[in-house]
Amino acid sequence: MAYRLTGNVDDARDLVQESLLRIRRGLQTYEPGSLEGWLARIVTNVFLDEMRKKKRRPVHALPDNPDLVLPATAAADDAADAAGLSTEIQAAINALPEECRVPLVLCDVADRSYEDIAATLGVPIGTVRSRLHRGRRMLRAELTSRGVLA
Amino acid sequence: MTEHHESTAETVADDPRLSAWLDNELAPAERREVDELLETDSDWSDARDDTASVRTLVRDLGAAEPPVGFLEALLTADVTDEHGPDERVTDLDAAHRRRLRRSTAAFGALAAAAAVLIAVIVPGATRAQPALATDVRVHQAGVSSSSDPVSALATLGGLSRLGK
Repeated sequence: MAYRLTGNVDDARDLVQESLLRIRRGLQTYEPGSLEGWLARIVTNVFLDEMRKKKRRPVHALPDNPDLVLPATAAADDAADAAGLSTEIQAAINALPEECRVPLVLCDVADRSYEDIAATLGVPIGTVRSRLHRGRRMLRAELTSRGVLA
Repeated sequence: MTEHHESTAETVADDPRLSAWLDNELAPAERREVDELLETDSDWSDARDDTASVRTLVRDLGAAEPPVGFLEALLTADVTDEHGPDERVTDLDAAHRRRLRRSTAAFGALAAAAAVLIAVIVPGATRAQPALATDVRVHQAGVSSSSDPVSALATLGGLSRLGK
């Protein structure tokens, strides 16, 4: 999930580390319930905090290098095709605006409910619904322009 | 396809109820409405299929497989919480800085240990003399050369005070 949100291994590693720190501190306040949801919420909050900071402190990112993003895969054609497709889809996800990307990842990757996503993001469920759908529409357009979808 | 139909199709495709229908997140009454539209309007069923194809692609993508060694590196990493219990860690750059500080501190400790080791191995090269002992020796040399018994007693008295 951290990788799908950030789009690269280095940021995903930092995101997971910071999340682990926050989880350690938050364990005392954790109330038994959906552990998965609680973890997804923490990872999302750490990610959003970092995104807000980056907006205040713009940096020029180096161009993505797919070789660094994905682990080495088997030489089989199928695996290579799958990795290529995965890279294309991840790149298309990265191209989404944050407000659409986060609900999309939370819904389709982390399998969270709209209610849970709304609570995580602090927005109404209707907003989650519209942002998620807009994200899917934009993703479809992006994947079509990349030739992944007809 | 007419311009009017295209615009209608676009409007349908933009309807967020399509995603909510696919995610089973519609209230029963709303779901029945959409069910009916999907059965009677091809724009709706086409838009649903388009949205479903993207949704399936992302869902099939799933969580990313971490690179070889990612988890091992994470679990063995020194993630000591240097913050107080109430302080929120939100700055990912701070994590980089902390790691850098830890490296610097480790290097400093290593350098200090090396300096101590050199001092032990090479006595006389770096061994420091206590300033008081140096003064006493200088004074004693002066006393012996002058043969002044009072000064000699004063030196002993000064040294005896140090033990108190």
